[in-house]
Amino acid sequence: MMPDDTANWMEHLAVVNSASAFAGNGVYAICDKQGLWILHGAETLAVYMGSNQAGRTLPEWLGIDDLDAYKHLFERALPGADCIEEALATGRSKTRFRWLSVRVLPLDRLNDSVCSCCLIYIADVTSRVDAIEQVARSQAREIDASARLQAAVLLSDPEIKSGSFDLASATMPSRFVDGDFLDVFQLTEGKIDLILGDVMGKGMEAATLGTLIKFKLFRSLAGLLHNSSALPSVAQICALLEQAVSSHLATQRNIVTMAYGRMHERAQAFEFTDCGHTPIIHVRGTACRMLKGSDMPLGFADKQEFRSFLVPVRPGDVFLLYSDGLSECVSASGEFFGEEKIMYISKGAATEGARVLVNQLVRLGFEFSASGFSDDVSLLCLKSLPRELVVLERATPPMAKTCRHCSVGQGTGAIEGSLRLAMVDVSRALASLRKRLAVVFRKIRCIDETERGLLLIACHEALSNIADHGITAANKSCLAEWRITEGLLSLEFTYQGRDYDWLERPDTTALQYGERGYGLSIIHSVMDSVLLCNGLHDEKTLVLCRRLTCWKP
Amino acid sequence: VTSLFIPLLTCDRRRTEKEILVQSIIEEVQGVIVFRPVERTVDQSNASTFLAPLAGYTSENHKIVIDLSETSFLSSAGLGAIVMLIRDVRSAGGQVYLCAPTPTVKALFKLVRIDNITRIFETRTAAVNDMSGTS
Repeated sequence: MMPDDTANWMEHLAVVNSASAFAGNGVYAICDKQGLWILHGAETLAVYMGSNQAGRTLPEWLGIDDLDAYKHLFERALPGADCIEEALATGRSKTRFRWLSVRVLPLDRLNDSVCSCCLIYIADVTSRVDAIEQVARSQAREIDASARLQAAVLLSDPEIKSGSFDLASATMPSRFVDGDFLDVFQLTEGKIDLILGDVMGKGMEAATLGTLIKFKLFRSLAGLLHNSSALPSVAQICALLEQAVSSHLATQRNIVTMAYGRMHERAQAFEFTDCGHTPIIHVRGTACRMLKGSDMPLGFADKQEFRSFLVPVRPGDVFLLYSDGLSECVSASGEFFGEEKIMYISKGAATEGARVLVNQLVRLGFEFSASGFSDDVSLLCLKSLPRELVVLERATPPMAKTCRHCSVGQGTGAIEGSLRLAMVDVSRALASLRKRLAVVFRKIRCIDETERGLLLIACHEALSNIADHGITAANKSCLAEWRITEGLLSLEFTYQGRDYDWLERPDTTALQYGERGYGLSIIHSVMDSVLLCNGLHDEKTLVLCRRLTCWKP
Repeated sequence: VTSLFIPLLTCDRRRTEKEILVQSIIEEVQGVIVFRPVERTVDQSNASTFLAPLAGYTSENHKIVIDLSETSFLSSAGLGAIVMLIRDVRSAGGQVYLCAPTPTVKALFKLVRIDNITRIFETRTAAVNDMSGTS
């Protein structure tokens, strides 16, 4: 009889004070005033003596071994029967340990704690326990193998070696295996793709879904590459991936966040789509900022339109992708590790290299958290290494003489410059910017005068927006930096002040007869990427990028 | 042809002498009011004033052509001012056409689809002829 066979187990009970109790499988108990004997045939398996056994608890009677460890095996034996004490006892026969299931039902309580008469049921469950243990061992082996397999599939180590970049990753599942996944791969020469994703939930289910997402990602990529000679943008890849996985995610009522980044070596640009993931940390020198896109997680809404953003990369720049297991780990006092700490640590360790930064974040995060990481933690770091970059012109005020030999779109050089603008007199600042950029834009040979004019208007509108909505600092200054590399024009406006709705791209047409609202629309129409990044101490950077015709995606 | 030359010295005090010589002009040609602003750059600093000479023409059903041949830079503020003028004149039963935009301004008009609310002509003559019904 199995212990959870509740319909029949009463038949196998015996009244203890009637001298003996028969138990199945040849094991029986004898209980009298002197004590309790558990026997198997003529062999005594265990003897429990005491002057007042009835006043003891069963564990005290039986001297149970490993009760807690095996208790879960019998949790379902008699649900709700709280008057029944159940325990496992070990008894040693001549050849081996035997597992006995003992249940006691008090029949006549003298008071709340003392029982004068009870029923005892004893069953030899050795074979069942053995079977369960065997299943458990087998499952443990399978979990271990699965964990190793999942880790190999989900958490590929960056294998790309490049003289231009330093790569490092780390991952710690909160269980044997979890749903974080990451990878670094090269689809074409000069471009490195990085992904770091996080499936909601934990354990094998999340890991399985993570594996599916990764499989679908590469399948989507294969399809895109087969159907097009050009490398698809990261936004295109994410959109196709979402189409491929949305039904699975809907069925499982799950969502996945994923940061997808691509380093364009020649254009010296980082392209990303974040699919609702934690912000990417971008460290440049002493500045640190968060790159946060605009998309929802995969599976969050039907047929999302994903947007990719571009930021210029300079030698020494660091990009860190991480999962929320790090930012949301909690200290003993309930404080979150948070994005700001990650930014400060990244800023401090960025000069040391990708591996040092990753290790430091893991160590400090772990030390910070009260009881280790409760969620998966994954990090992927890419550092652009200083290299022999030919800066053809470095124009800082006063502007350097134009280099007669620069040829954007043909060489590997960059044209860059900066201008500190005093925003106390906005009109004057705007005029200064226009004047300077008009000269700079003339050097972009692959666009015509009309396009140069539109670029100028877009930059004017960007600075005008910052003046209207962003700047609050007392010094009211804004640093404008521009950079033209092979295939990319980038402008960065850095100021201290407020965030504003830079993403809004109002469908502002003249049809609405609006007096205002055209600025953002013009910026978004003229530029390929518009991104406002939050830095430390209220520092904001508006990054505008425009692909040039010599851009090779 | 009746020409009304109206000097607008107060429009922009920072104009150079050369610019002052080519002041904004309002002319009446074939019953059409033709206005040519002389501001090369129209941004937030002068957006509210560069169409000021037309203020008296928004309350009745006037036919107005704005000649933008001199304007090489038009910001969103200037664009907003033009759109507001078009709205006001149309509400009064009039009509506004734009003509001779520089390539950049023309491209800007295309971006904001201003052709949905008015017509843009390559030349001033074409605009006037179309508006006066002589084309």
